Amino acid sequence: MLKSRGAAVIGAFVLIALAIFIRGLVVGDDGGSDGPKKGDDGSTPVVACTPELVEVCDALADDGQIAADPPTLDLDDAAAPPTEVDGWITWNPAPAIANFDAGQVPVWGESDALGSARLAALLDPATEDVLRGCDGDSVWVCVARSPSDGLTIGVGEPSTAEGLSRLAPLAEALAPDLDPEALPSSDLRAIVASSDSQTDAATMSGYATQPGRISIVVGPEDLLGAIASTNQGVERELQVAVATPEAKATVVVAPRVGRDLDLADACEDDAVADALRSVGVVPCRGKASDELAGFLYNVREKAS
Amino acid sequence: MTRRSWSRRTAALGLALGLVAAGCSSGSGGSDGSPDDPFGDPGDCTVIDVAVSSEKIDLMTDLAKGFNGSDDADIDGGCAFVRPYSKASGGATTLLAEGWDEQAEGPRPVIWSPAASSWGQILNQRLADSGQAAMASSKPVSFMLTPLVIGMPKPMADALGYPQTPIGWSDIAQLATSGEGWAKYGHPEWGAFKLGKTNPNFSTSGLNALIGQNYAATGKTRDLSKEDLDAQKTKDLGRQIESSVVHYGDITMTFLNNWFRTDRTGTSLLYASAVAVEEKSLIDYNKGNPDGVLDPGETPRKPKVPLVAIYPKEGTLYSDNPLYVLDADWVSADEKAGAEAFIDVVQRPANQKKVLEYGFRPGNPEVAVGAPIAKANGVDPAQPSKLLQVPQPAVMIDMLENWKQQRKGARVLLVLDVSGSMEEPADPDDPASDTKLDLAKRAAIDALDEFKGDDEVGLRVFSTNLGPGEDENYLDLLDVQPMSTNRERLASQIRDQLPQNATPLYEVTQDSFEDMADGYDPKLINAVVLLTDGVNDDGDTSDDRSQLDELLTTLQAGTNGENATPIRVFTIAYGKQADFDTLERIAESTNAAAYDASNPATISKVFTAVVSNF
Repeated sequence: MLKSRGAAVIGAFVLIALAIFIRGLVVGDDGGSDGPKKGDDGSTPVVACTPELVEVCDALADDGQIAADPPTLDLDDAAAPPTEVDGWITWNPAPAIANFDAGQVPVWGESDALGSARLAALLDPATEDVLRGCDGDSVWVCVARSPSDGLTIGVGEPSTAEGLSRLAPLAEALAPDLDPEALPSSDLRAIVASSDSQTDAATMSGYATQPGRISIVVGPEDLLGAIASTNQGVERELQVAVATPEAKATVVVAPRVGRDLDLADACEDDAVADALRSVGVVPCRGKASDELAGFLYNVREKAS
Repeated sequence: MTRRSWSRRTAALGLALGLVAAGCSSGSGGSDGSPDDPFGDPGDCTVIDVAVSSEKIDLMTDLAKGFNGSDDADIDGGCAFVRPYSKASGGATTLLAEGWDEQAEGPRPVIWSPAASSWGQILNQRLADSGQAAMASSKPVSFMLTPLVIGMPKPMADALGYPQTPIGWSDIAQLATSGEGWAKYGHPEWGAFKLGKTNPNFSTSGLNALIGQNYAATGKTRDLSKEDLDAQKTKDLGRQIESSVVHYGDITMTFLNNWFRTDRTGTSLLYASAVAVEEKSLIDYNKGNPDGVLDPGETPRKPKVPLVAIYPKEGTLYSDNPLYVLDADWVSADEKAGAEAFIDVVQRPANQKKVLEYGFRPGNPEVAVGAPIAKANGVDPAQPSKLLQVPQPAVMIDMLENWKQQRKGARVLLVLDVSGSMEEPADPDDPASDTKLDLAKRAAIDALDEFKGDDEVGLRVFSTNLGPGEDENYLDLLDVQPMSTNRERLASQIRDQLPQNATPLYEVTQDSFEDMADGYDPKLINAVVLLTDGVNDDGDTSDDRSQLDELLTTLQAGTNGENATPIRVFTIAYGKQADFDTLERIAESTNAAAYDASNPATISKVFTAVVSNF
């Protein structure tokens, strides 16, 4: 018994030593946690971010965890990213959708969550009457139908990772069984076309303070709450509706297939956490899931 | 008030896709292309030149003065020194797209802030069309906003029942075509409905108004299409609205200044019933500073009849005042760092409060929208209730093409000075350079292209001792006739002119005004364009004063009053010897505008700006 236990301990030590040795090879430093993380060839990994998450990449680069001057990469180009890109920080489940785009050979490996946000709706007072008439339906259903009442909805551009994550709850409201065949293209397009422009949640929530510009903005709850509590937001009587059923937008990091990338704990870095919070995402929360990838792939096709 | 000069109303070219002429944003500026005086010596600091649309030059000067010398201006061991100067949005777009001549236009900017970000999109499109890289970021900082409104004297807005009764472009069209005019609303003394609207090829507010009226005909707020433009209803509404236009022009300040001046004599309601203008400018007007620039010693005096901002019920557009750090080869890393520091500073709450003080809506939501954006100043901070989408470039091009046909026609007498002094070289330092007359002729001929076929244009030249008997003070070379028949002959006649004798300015002005009044056509914009390089000189100085008094009396009498037949006399002071002050009095007496081409090299741009009134 003792003999076998001792063997197990020795084995564990060997494994730990081996892990440290391998990590040393990979990281190429003294094994500390703050130094640059090295890629397969010993270089600092190149990690791209979707445009609205560029501050996350900048924070990682400033910390030396990824290569300096990180590029931006959005869903349109993610099926064939530049060769030097080792990883991608984006919104779930964009890597899986990009893999669909890529065809038979996936580009992105399994994602890790860096943070998550509950999605909510920022409402102009003018929306009150329309939404009041939605008794019995979920907020998402009401919002999804509101363009027919002349309201304008800020959901982002559906060809982007961020836009798809914000459009997701409205699409689910229109096709509760997640049946792509049941997705009404005209309704999806009406949502996207209701606003004179579609862009990221931070920009669009700012629009909500400008009279006449936008009726409803879908985005991370904390981001919308911050705008609603500004002087102009209070003046405009903006409200944040915590929508049901709960929907989340999750920031993930995906390694490129065949490349080593260890950034799962990056959210613990203060600067990275601040960058995540700046887009309304709570750091180190949520989980990466490909569950909706197929459905959102179709949403993108039908809404664009 | 600020003396107009060419760079404030630079004829700007190139709207979307580089196909359409475009130009100045509304407004009148302080410094004028030369970013020197208000800021002092930058010392060893990195100079950040900032080209801004004219309506915000005072604000930007104020912000720059607060920044320069502050800790915020310390950049990496050095310092930044910000120098804003006024440059019309459309004009800057063209210069950036086609090449910025620093000798003529002042320094190339590090930061560019046009009135609206649509100009940045247009610049990038034009650069792309010529195979060049984009200069303007697709996501610039928008540090303040102001919506386009229909400014209307309060008694008139009250008569229409505003704000209880929403008003939009469709109502303006009805007012414009109602044979009863204001009599329908119980005020026959106000005469017909008259609209002030800038030329959409030159002015942001004019372009936004045109977009608004086209949307109004469709009932849409987005996705305006070429088919929409071609619909008879859209064309009809356009013609109806344009039929009431007093005149066009490149900046809204012309209307506001004229309104303000006639307010003193109690005739402002007769000059114009409404003007398409930015909310900020309306606030300035109501505060007693119609051009938004307080010259030294100038004291604001509130108008007797204030304006009310009507937010068109069909929707409107914001001017979003972007701050572009240009991605251009002349912008160094130090300049970029300094520019970003300045942009960061102007967004801070303390500076955003200044933005508000100047009548703009702060871009930083942390700063509440309070006074002067308040009902007491004729505006409503809770408005607009509806915004319009900026149409696609191709649609805008068609829209502007259609406007050329829809706009009110013009009946214009060109009156050109061919006195002996016009023989002087345009560049005094270069005796071999073209004469002033050469440049003026070229500019006048080029400007003829801006008239449409059914505009009526004639030509009169003046100097002493003209004609076969050498006893005429002016000659009519071509009667006022449609351009479709007159265009080539006009060009030919202008081309043939030679410098003559003296300058009987008052006589020719008076006779031209009266001759045009005799043939006044209410369906057209009736105007005289008067170019001169000197002072009145008819050989007898003893009666100059009485001649001028008589002239001004005649002009005012013919311009104001219920039964007036207004002939707008647009004057161009050409060269340094021109009597700008007198020419300004002449122009103002007819509720028109005086243009300063004291630098002869600017005459082509000035002529284009003058013709933008038609």
